[in-house]
Amino acid sequence: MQFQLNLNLVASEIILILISSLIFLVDRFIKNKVYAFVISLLTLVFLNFLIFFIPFGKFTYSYSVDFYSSTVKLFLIFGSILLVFVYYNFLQDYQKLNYGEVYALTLFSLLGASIAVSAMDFITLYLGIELLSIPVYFLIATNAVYDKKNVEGSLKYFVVGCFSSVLLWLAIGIIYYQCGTLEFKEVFFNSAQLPNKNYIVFAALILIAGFSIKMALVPFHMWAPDAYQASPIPITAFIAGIMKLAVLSALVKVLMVSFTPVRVEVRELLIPIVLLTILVGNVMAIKQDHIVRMLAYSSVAHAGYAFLGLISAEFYGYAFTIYYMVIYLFTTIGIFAVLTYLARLDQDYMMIPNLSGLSKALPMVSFLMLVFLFSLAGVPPTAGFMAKFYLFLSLIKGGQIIVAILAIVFSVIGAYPYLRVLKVIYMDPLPAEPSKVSYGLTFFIPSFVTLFLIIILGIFPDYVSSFIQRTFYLYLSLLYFHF
Amino acid sequence: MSAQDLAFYYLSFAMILSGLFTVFSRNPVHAVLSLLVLIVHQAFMLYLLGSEFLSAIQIIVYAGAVVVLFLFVVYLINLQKEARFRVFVRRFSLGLIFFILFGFLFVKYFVLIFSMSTGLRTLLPIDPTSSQALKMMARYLFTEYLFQFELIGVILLVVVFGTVFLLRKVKEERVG
Repeated sequence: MQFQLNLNLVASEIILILISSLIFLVDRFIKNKVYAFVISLLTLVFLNFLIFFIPFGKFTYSYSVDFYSSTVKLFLIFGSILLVFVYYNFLQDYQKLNYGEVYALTLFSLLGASIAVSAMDFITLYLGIELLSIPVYFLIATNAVYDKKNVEGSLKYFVVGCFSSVLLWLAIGIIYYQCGTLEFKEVFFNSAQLPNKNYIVFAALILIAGFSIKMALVPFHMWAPDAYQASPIPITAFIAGIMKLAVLSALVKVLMVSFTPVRVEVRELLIPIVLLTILVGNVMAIKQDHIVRMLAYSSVAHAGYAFLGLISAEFYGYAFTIYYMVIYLFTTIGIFAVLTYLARLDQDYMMIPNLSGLSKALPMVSFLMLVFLFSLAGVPPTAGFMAKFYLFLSLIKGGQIIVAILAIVFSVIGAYPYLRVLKVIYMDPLPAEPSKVSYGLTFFIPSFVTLFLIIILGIFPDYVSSFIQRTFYLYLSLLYFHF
Repeated sequence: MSAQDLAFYYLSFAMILSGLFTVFSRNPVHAVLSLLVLIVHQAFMLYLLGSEFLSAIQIIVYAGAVVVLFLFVVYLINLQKEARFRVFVRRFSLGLIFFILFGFLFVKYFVLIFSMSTGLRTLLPIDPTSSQALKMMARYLFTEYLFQFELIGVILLVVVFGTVFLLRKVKEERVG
């Protein structure tokens, strides 16, 4: 058997390993931590251009650079560029966390994300997801310097993450038992020839359970609010945005490539999970007073919305799933950039009743909050509306009209928590004039870039959505018809 | 029922039991020792399946090194105060509903699987009982699964980095 060891294909991964190890190496000798911010930013910008020049191909069967993985990596790295600014903005006032290692661990996590989305093999997929999560456990646990209780959130996440690994291995074992291989495409060919596909459906059920722990879907969502509240605010944005996009794209790839023969059964498994996720996430968000907890429950619900595209069981539905998650990534980064600014002003602003009358003191920040929360709720001029619209469209095209109606009803419930925050900000009286912190470029860049993207993609959604559609089309046609 | 079947059932029962002891025992030393029992039984299970090499690795690495490290940690830091029982998830009723719902899905597919015809056979690429197994395993590890092998190294590196970062000396916060 022949296989390639072309190091050009893994160039971006090698650069990420080298740069983050370099930061770990020199961090103790440099007092001023701005260097870590500059190095990470330059690396990520360089990688964002490098993605366009890396050739397509495979590195030992298990790692492939193709249309799908390159596109998802493009969004992941673009999101990380914006997020690095939020990190810098946050760490200015939180000196106990201001170490270069925070950036370096994030880069390692990004490395895991990029391996998970380009895996062509179940073992590589599992290892990529582990490499994605392990640095995040550490990043949450370091927040214990501010509050000892934060260790609890990290430990909860760690234990639940281990449970997810166990479920993933169980699923991988069943797949190997049935198909005799772990490579995605061979699993597809071997499982299509099986006379009885119940084992494969069972494996898909356990695999989805394992992934739904990482995505915080409903039966396994209990860790999400605690972990989100325990972690520093930019890390929360990383967990909610980038980790979810990476894990979801890996799952979409597995379902699209390996589990195509059992597509209809997988859809029937997903329907109760997804509807419960949307309902529970939205209902639990209503009574939360801590804004990060509210956003945690809303991110549970948004993962549920993204899975609606998988219920349609068609490839355009899968593409709209990725599109929804990309829009959610932008919105999350924007809203957490704003929250970082508020947390620098005063930690009390994390409780929703304390935000009252903020529009009179900080009109610009309140307007940014308005746009991002409208996008989360799905109000028309923003991109969140178009993303939801596409998902419901794909559901109706796939013949799942009852699911679509229920999801729309649940999303009306889900508008309440966001509108409540806006009511407190815009209609309640201002108790006292707050102190001010200068905005700075590191606040303007992430918040205004995401604001621009959300409004532009709300008016012209076609640019990104048809880009993702074409990516899926090219990826699938090259995968199956070009040997 | 052959002797091999009997041994299989004994080993799996003992593994489940010692696993439960590990989870539920209040004393951390007892927990670590039950983990040791679990690992030794697991090694015998691997031997029963015909892979002598993996069972030796299991004894040397896990029983010999990892569990001893655990014991060191338990002896070095006094865990008596932290070992009290605490409820992990408080809302049992909600958990029960989800358990019933998903238990239903699991049971449905279990029944479907076990009502199926017998005669399914694994399609293993290597016969683990043959004398070539070790050689083949090494070859697979360094050729086809090279990427995964290197990736595990990166993961271990990250864990070392993260631990060092977690146990750093924290600098004082600037006031104002």
